[in-house]
Amino acid sequence: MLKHILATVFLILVFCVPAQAKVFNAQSTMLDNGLEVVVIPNHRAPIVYHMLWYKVGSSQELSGESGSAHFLEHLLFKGTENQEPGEFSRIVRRLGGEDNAFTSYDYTAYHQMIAKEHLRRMMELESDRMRNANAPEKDVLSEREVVLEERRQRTDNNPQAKFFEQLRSYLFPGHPYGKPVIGWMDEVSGLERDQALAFYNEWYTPSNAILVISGDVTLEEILTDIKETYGQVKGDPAPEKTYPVIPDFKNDVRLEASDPQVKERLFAKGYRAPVYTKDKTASLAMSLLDDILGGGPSARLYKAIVIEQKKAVSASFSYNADYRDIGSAWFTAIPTEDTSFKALENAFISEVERLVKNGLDDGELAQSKARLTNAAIYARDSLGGPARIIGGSLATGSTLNDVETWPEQIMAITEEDIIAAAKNYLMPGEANTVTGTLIPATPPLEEAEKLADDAGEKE
Amino acid sequence: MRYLVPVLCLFLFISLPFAVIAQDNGAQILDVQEVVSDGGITAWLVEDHTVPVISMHFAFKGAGSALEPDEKQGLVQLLSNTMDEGAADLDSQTFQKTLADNSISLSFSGGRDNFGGSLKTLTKNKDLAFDLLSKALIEPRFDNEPLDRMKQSNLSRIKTSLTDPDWIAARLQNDLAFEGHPYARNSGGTLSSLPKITAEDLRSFAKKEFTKDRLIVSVAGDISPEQVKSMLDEIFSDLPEKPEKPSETNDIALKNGNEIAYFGLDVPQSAVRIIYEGIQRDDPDYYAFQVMNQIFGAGGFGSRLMEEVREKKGLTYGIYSSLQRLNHAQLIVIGASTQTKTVDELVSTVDQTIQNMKQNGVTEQELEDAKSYILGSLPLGLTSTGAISATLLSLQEEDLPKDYLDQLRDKIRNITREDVSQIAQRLLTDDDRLVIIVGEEKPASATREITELPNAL
Repeated sequence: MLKHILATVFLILVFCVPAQAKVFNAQSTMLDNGLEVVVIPNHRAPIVYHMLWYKVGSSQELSGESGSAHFLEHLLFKGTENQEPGEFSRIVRRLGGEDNAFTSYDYTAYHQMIAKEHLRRMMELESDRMRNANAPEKDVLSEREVVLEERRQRTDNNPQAKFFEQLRSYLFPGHPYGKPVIGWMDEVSGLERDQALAFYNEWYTPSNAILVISGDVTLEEILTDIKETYGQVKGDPAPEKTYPVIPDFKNDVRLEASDPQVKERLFAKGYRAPVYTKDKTASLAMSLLDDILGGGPSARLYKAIVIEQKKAVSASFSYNADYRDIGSAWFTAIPTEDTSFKALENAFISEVERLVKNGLDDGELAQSKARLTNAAIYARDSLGGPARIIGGSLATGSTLNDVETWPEQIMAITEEDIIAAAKNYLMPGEANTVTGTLIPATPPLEEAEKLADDAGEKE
Repeated sequence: MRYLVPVLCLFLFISLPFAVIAQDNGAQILDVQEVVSDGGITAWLVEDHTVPVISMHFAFKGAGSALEPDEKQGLVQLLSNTMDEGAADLDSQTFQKTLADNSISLSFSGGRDNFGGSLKTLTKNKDLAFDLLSKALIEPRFDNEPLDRMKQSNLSRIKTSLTDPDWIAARLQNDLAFEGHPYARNSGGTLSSLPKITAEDLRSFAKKEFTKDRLIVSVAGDISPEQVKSMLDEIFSDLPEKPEKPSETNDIALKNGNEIAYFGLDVPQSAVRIIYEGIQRDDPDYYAFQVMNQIFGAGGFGSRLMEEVREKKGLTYGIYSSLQRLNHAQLIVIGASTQTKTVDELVSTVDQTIQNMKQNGVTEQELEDAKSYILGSLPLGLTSTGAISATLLSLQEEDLPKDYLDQLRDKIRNITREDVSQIAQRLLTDDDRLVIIVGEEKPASATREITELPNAL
């Protein structure tokens, strides 16, 4: 009995993070105009990473204007009433900094990494860009061409990217998560300056934004600068974000795609999954499931399907939770030459069933928890990582406390939670899924020859 | 809570040819210590106890894919894939599971010149991490199962790449620019070469080429010099001193510098590369080139190429100009993608930008901006233990001194507009440049059409 208690105490010591330990020790405040401010002190180098996040992305675009949130992001580099087109970036370069921006479904962020003595200048320029965007028409037109080239480069030139773009549209029918962030080619081609600026005027306001600064500063040191720049920006509250309901289709949706640019078959199965803000336990359990099933070469799927059964050359599983409304989870694999798609799909399904039926192996949950909480330590070993994690979480509805106490929450998840998540979200018939296969397109001539050969054999 | 989501970045990530920059207040950028173990092994160390993490990088200089036999292209790549797949008494699955369960990242990489490795661990797991690396280096198993699996994975990667225009352009670049030289081969292997490689090939390459005289090591993070010393001996002391018969590689200058080569691929956007002979690091004008290229095309937004090709004309999402340096060759590579119908316009816009640079030079403002960027941005890449350790390794790979980042300040400051004009005129020649276009339409200017991709199938 004593031995048992000792073992338990040991486990608690090893695996429990003390309740007061925060991952990033971030500081935060809220300005009078509603702007949320987070500072993550990191004194390793005299540098700051300055990020302004807007809690809006492509999911709030008007119908027929797909790509306008991302197009707007590009136009914000084309000047304001007080800045020439490209001037902001030129100033950043001159000061030895780097700048960039990105757009996702539920957020858009603008960021610079620069020596800390230039932080105030970044605040002046970025706060000006919150309300005064004013891209000249000629720059808007050439920038639209740039975005079309971006789309060709990312998607249209890449058969796998086109395949996943179409799969998403089937997993989220009628929902903005089914549209690509960059927009449909035909709609992006027609986007106008006024459409992008209307989106800007509606959504880019202080109360719909988060300022995240990581680096060699503290909140106390820079609060005055923040108030004198961002604090002066006025703006009405942004509208309520709305998401359409996806009809509860009962039938499996299947996409059989073929492409002449494909040399190798690809299999994918997508599931709608929980988001953290709506179901914390399920979302945390899915994060552990992501690690247990798909966390690298010693995880269950790779071990079973690639190493032992040799049904796939690669097999991965990922849970994407960085959304406000619905998450997704994807199984993706390249089958070995003599494996049918059906056999591959069955191999995946039986791994999920095995987990639901038999539960986890001895020690498996503890090891997975240790990996995830260790990842939180590694996350502190950079300037940009913590700012991106906090910004993305807050922009999709989590609180700073949610982020800071994440390891504790992971530690609290039980085997039953994980089995329930697998059962609720990954079992066929229980969830809305999409299944896709991508194969090389056979040129028509070869196809005809093959038919002729088949006919010949029959005789 | 996870932040890796499909996001669209405004720029491509454009890196400087070799990030070498400095801050301006006279302080040392990195406090690098040289540590020599009892066994005589040297490492560069930046001690930093902020986070309980240790990062380490090492390389065997000159032990890269340039040494592999022609019919076994991909040997070094496969070696890098299999060295962490089982060692000593640990089979592949046990080895990988031990890494994963202890949150240790260990990976190897095979380049054309060097064979490298990197290790990242939490302080509390460092002894185990060092032991696993030592086992992988000294007693790799190369069991059949993981070897076959890694071959399949590489074959799959090649098949997927066969329709990627950028990959094809890179393949053609190596094949044409380095024709007849080991660098022309495919360091990732080919569909026919990979199956021929045996465990014995891997074992004998490692045994012959991974020697102490070629070893360079860098460490950053939560570790003391004394701990580094004992770690160095524990991991590396069993390696042989030097190769019995060192292999040699010859220098090579740009070949096919009069060609416009075309490869047909049915995609809506073409990949374009324009390639010039580059400059060696010990050339007196090397720093003038760095400043010139910063203004011309290495600087992302605000560079002349980005301004002319992207901002003014909307012809591309990103265009860069970078110096690609190997131990025995150096190229200036300008790369971009554009839709089929604007390929000619893109190439001619790049040409005009080059002519303008050569004839009119750069402005005082451009010169000052480029210098202040190069000097000011130096510390930006040094914010994680992994990045610091990788930077220390690349300095050693280039035979540069420990305080190189500090020395750079004066070298960059002294560059004049005349220096910049002269190096532009010298390197961006009118008659020695190779153009590669991969896309659905053959340009009228093409001098050569390539129909079968060399060293891929």
